Amino acid sequence: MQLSRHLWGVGSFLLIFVVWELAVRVFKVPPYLVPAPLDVARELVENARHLGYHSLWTALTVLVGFVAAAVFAVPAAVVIASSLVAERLLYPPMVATQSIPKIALAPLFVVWFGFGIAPKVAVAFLIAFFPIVIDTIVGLRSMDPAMLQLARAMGAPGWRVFWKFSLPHALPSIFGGLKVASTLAVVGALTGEFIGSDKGLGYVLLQASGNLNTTLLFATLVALSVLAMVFFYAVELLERIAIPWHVSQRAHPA
Amino acid sequence: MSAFIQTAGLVKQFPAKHGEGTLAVDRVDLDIQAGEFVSIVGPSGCGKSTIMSMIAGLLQPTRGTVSIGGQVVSKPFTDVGIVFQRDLLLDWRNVLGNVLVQFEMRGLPCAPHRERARALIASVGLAGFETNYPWQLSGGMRQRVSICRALVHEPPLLLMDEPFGALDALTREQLQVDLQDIWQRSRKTVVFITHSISEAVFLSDRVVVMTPRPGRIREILPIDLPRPRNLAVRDSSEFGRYNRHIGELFRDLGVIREGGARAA
Repeated sequence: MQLSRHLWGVGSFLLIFVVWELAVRVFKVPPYLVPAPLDVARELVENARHLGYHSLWTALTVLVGFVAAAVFAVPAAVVIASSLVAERLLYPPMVATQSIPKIALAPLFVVWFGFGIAPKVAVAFLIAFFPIVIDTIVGLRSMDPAMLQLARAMGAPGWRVFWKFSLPHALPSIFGGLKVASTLAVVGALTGEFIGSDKGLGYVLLQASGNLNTTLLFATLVALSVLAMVFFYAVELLERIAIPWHVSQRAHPA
Repeated sequence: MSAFIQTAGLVKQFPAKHGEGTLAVDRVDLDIQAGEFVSIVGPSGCGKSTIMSMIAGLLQPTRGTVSIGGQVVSKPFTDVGIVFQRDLLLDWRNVLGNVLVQFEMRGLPCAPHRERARALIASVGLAGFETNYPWQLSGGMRQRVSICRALVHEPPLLLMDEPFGALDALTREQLQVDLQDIWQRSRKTVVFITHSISEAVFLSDRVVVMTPRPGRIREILPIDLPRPRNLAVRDSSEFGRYNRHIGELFRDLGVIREGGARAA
């Protein structure tokens, strides 16, 4: 069952590539508009070092931005979920910042942090932060009130209730937020690189487009989607290790 | 001899946004002896769960007091085991871990109690399931685990809030018999909330019959049936009499209506 599903996936991609390749060859589509898949593959191989170097750079930006977002967002959500004062104080400005498109902030970060990696990390951080906060709050709030009564009748102090009951209970939601954030962090890093950069896949993408090198542009897109997928599945792997007991994980055949 | 649990003039009024609040519990005076099995039976919304929460110190009464063992309860009373209608097991812990969480939450080491926990799990028919996870168990098995969790630290008092309300009829009967066994062996004081008349009569030394909101005590009925009671006792005429009596009280109170629709 599992195997045949994978075969279907591979098959459908192969079919798309074959049709695409044939269409480009038959209709003689110029490569600066749509390059043939085989040409893109050749470009990928020939530029492997170049793309690899810039991929690593973007990956570093995504990783730092994402980890920083997770490290700050989860505690922020815990504070907001556990105190009404904190919620009233922190929540409105957080939503307000969220309503500003992150792309609009990128030029400001260039002013603040220069042209290095910092402004890119800042955009990735900012864009990944919000979904983690929201999903963590939802997870922490969705606990049965009777559960808290039970904990109080066991004489447990608040921090122990949080550690043994609330946090494990919220983990599935937290991972939901982390998964969304992992793909958004890639968008953030790329946005940062578009604004002003001499490194990273965003930079390669702009250069390729400037030179009308559409084949390289497609190859970069492939590298980018591989990078985004690696991040997503890394988080999913972590999830599988952290919450094997959750209903979403049990559906996977062991 | 003074009672183990005493409620004196217990009143609970929940505040409302507009106007006056809802009176959930009104002047409840109840004495429960140590080792006694007392059921509180009444329609939904009669404040029976509220009374239980106040006994446990999880909810402060508007007026009146609860005292346990001569001490007025003013904060959560922790020398207790509680079983709710939902089993509230932790999905990320196996059966043994779910029972031992009782000690962990109290900041006590689990190791000295492991054998006791295992024995208790075996005594409710779950031997061999210690390493299973809650989602691998049936509803009845899950509720047995939650009863073990409530008993493992050997509290003198067991509070049960419609513990069998979510179970199918057969599982429910089995657990009633099992609970009677556990109670006869341990002689804990049990306060048992239910809306099932026959469940209350079957299990209890005394049944407290509540009125609909505001919850007041309508009658306290001693159940004088020999122990241990087996399921056949339900067919006896005494059992029927108790059942009928409580049913009539509810009919008088307008909880149960007969004769079809009435004009509002």
